[in-house]
Amino acid sequence: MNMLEVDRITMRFGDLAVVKDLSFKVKKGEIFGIAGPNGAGKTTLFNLITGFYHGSGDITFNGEKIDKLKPYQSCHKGIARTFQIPQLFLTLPVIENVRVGAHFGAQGVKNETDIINETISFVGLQGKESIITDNLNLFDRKRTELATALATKPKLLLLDEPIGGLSPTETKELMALIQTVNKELGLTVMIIEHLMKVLTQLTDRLMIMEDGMEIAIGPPKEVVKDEKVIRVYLGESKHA
Amino acid sequence: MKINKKTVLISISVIAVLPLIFRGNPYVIHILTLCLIWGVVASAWDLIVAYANVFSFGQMAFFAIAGYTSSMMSLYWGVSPALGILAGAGLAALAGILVGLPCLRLRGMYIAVVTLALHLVLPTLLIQGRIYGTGGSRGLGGIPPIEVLGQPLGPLGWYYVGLGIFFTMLFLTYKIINSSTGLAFVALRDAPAAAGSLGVNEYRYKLIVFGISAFITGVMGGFYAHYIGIISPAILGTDIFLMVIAMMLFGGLGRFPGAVVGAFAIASANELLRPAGTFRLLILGAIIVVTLIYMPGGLMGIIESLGNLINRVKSRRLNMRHKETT
Repeated sequence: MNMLEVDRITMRFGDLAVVKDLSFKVKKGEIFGIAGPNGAGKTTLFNLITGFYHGSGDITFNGEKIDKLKPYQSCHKGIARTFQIPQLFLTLPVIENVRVGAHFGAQGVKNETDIINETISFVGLQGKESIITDNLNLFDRKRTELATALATKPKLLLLDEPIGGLSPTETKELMALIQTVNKELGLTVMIIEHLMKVLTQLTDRLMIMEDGMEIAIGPPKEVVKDEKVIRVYLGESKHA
Repeated sequence: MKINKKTVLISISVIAVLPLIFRGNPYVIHILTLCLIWGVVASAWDLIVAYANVFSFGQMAFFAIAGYTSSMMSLYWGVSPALGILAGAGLAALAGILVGLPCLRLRGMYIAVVTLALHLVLPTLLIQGRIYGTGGSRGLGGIPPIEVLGQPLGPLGWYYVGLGIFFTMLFLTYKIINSSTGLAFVALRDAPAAAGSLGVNEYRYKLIVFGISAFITGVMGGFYAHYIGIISPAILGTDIFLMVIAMMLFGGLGRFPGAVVGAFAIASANELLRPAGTFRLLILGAIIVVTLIYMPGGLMGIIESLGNLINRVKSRRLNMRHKETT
């Protein structure tokens, strides 16, 4: 069953088409990777799905059209996201950041405090609840942002370059956390990343974008062998 | 933000006995009453500018709308000042929502321009509205005062009624800041994109704060009209406009109750500077510029920094003592 269906979406800024006639589907319960060179339209795609941009074409989530929704409405439908540069409420402590997600995002829940505590514990931030997020290191900021997204009780989680700037150990930890989110919480995950090693280990299917279009889609081991992908994105790796 | 209860009790006690400290001097009580009025107005403006991050310059317009409404209802329909004040505040809140409905779809400076336009247009409307009973350029005089048991209030009576309203409105502001509505404001201020993606309806919460801020300001607008007994388009003059902005900045933007602290400081200084005539505007402008450059956190920022310094020193001493004993 498809959780998300994107059908011929196009996004223009003036004369520049950043996403062009893009179509793909995301299956329920899978980890779906998106890769491509800078300017390929990956983050724009996330912005279209989460209501920050409205282009032409259709986006359907769980059978419902969502392409005209605003971000807060998209959240209430069950879509949560993180940002390329972690977007946190820097004057607030960790617990209040997560409370924003639990209170405004999770619809109809009565046990808000339990959700907040469980989510903080799930991402490994117990003991850091009262730390002002401006004082956190990058890894903890990323975990806090993930916690705020999870606190909205989403069905679909969009992660925009979550690994960027992390050490190898932190990368490994975060990858394990993403897999736990998928396997234990049952969330469908879409992840944008540049590190092909991460994507091939983590994802069930992978889509490569270039110039706003899809150039390959399928299981990661097959996609990385695609000639178009090698030419456009992985050119140097032939000689590695 | 949480406020120390002990600090609150001490502050309430000090403000309550201030007139007695000055031996009931009517002039001093008058200045203190004005401090209460402007303290609430500045706090309500601070709520919308610093907490909700909405650059609105319409606050004095809501003040005037409520003042005129309450005055006209009392003068022409015999409505009691208490009811008139509530009605005026209600109309100010409605005006706030009506202004907010189209205007909050705009971003940043556009909201400032639209609300400033309202502030600039309103005096003309009030002057031209003479046939509707606004009193034209002279405004309205002989506005009925608040009475208790058929007797008009004296200076101390006005101060303590104003104090009651002051604490009620400040308590309301404090509760809003510390509620989920306040959390939405902080989220929208710190990271609007993240707030939206986490389910915060930016438009709805900003509209709510526009209405609440206008209501709180309107309560004091009505009280002011009945207290002074006169209201005219001069209430929308540059001097009062700048004075309230100076209060917010000097006290500390977004640092409740900084606007109140700023109000007491600036309202007192403004009265003391009255002999300077038009030079008052120059001085108020200078205070705004100096505060922005050298004290961006205002008085509350300085108090908070001192508090943090004291806590660090205490913490260091405790650690040293702990090391000595172990």
